[in-house]
Amino acid sequence: MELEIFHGPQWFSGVDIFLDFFSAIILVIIAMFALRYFWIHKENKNHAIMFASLAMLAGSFLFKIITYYTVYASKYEALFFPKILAYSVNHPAFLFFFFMHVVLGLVGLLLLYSILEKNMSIKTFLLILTMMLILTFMSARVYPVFYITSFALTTLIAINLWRTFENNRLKPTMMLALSFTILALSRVFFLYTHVHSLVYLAAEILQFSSYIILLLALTMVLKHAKKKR
Amino acid sequence: MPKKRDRFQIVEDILLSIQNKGGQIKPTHLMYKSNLSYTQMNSYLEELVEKEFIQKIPRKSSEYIAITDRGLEFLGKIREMKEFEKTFGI
Repeated sequence: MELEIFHGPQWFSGVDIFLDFFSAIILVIIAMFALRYFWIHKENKNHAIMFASLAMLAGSFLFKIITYYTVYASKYEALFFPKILAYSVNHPAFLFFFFMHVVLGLVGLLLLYSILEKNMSIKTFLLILTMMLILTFMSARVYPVFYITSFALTTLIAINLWRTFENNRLKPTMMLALSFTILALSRVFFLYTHVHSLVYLAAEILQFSSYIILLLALTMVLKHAKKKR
Repeated sequence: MPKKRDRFQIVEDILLSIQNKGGQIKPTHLMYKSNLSYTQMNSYLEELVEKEFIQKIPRKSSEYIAITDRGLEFLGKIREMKEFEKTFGI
């Protein structure tokens, strides 16, 4: 297993951490709404699963932030990255944080896909999960496999949402579908970050835009519900 | 065949029936509007009074059931949740 972490131009190191942090906050906000709806209607387990899924994706971001902070702190002697706060990249804690970032990211997406794809049984879910994690961690290069799997899941989620939009023709659903399409595209860019540092910059911006669109979709849902009162 | 309503949907139907009648309704009307038997309706009403979603108002001729601010707030939350579900297709 080899850990390769590519990142953007030096001036962007730190900015990406902030973008990831705000993306995590957006995910937490939507997760809190899912939790609120679960408390209202506890028989509908989809809200609980959605809460778990979004919380895991937010957690994945937080672990990515710690991982990248460690890389930046060991690479750049900058005020923003005091070394004292960071682990060494060879430290077992670093490997643990990286592992958590990958696992939470994949499980979160799979959980989200499982509620959109209504016919998925628990057995199928567990089978896919096991295969996915084995494939990722048994492969020689973890990061590319993580992004390929993540691309497959986000694409499937986006296809599902476009199908929902075909049926309900709601603008917020279109925004959601668009958001996951952009997120899937960002995964492709993340796959090629080794080619040029600007590819990482583009990937981060695409990813952040997708979460902003996700937040806008939620705002539209809330506004629409208020209008109906 | 239409799906059997669960407890949550029945509560929603009761609150909506009261709201659609301008916030107050006679128990007999509510029974027909929410499609429940007398015993079923009373068990739901007890629960809703306990949760302070509705209140019973005694009048000269008969007793009325009124939706409270808390009940209206709950209906708003249900609407929001349904929009969320519709948007995600879940």
